[in-house]
Amino acid sequence: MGESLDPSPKKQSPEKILRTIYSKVRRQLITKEPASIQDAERDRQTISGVALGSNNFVVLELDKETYSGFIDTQKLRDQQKISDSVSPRQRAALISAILMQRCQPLFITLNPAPSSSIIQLVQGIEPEPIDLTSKPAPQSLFHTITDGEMGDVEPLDTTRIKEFFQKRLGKKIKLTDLSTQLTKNEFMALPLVFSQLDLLFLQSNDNEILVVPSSELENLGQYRYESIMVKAQ
Amino acid sequence: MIEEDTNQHRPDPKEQRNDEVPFEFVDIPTLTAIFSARTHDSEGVLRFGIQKKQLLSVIGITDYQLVSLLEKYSELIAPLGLEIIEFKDGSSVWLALRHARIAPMQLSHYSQSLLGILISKLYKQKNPVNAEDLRQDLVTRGFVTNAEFTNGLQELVTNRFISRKRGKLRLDVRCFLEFTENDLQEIQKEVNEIIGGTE
Repeated sequence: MGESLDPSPKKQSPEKILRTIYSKVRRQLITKEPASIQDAERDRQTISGVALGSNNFVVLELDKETYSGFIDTQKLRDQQKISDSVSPRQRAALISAILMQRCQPLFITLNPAPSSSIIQLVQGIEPEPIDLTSKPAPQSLFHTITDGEMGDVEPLDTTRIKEFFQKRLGKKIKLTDLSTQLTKNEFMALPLVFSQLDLLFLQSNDNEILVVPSSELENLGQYRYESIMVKAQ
Repeated sequence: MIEEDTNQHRPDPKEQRNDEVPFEFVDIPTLTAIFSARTHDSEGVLRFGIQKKQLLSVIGITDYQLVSLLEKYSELIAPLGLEIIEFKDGSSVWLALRHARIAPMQLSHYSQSLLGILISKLYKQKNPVNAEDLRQDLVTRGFVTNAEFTNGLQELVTNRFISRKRGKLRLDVRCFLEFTENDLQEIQKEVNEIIGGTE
């Protein structure tokens, strides 16, 4: 008597509830202590509730098992589909590709050689501890290309380009003329020549350009305006 | 299992004698030839690189000087995508060269597939695989032909990816040198998904 069960048996596990009731009844039997009708009725209701809960639990477990089995079956079906669509040879090639993506192979330059030849190689190394008093200049690992080895690279003669533009200063020049009169190297050197001669390059329309000295920037009028428009497009 | 022992060639600084100077002489071509060599020992087993003890005794330098030499050499070969590794093979310590990044394997195509399958079956597994059982399984399933299995397995054993004793197969030293632990785990997982239930 006096031992009260948790009013909310759902919070306790069924096993714990049953154990508590069992120990209570056992003690009552041993001590021959009379049990009240209310307590006996409450215990009966608790046990009944636990039994119902257990049934539901069993049903839930069965459902879980069923779903789990269904998922496994689905996985097996997927695997079967993959194996049907990808031949074993292709799968072997896939495995080979996986290995290739992850391998950091040993660096091997010699075929299997007898150990004696390796010892001969090792004997070729002569220990030369550095002299700490004089530090030698560090040697470059790579072969340095000297000026003589690079050959003679002739600088581009820009006088012809300068003459070409000075003759046409302030006049419209067709783009087709530029491409025929100048070589490819000369064409690439145009920004350099323009900066040296202090010239401005303006595009009047799609096919023509106008080259003027920078000093005439203020007097450009419509060309300047069109050039800005072209840039904006 | 054979593991890379990267810290082993670093001697205790207390061992350094005061009269020793760092060993900075680096003969790159000779050292590269030595570290990248393959040799057969007296029992016919393929070995990679050179035994550390042998290198020390023949050159006649101390352990501390060897560390200095290897550090300098490592700096010089790093731009070439190479690194020097120290590992235990059997009872002795060896030094060899390895690609620092992913590079093509030495094996043929079907040997690579076979190695992948063997890694999936042997990595962190207690029981070795019986070669004949595996042959029967793979040939029946059409992964390899009989001849490919025989040649591939021979290639793997010769190059020390797999060891074979009394018909039982195990992973050998080169697997752990060319693949990291993480790589082996990933390969095992991916190959298991591909071959699906070879057991």
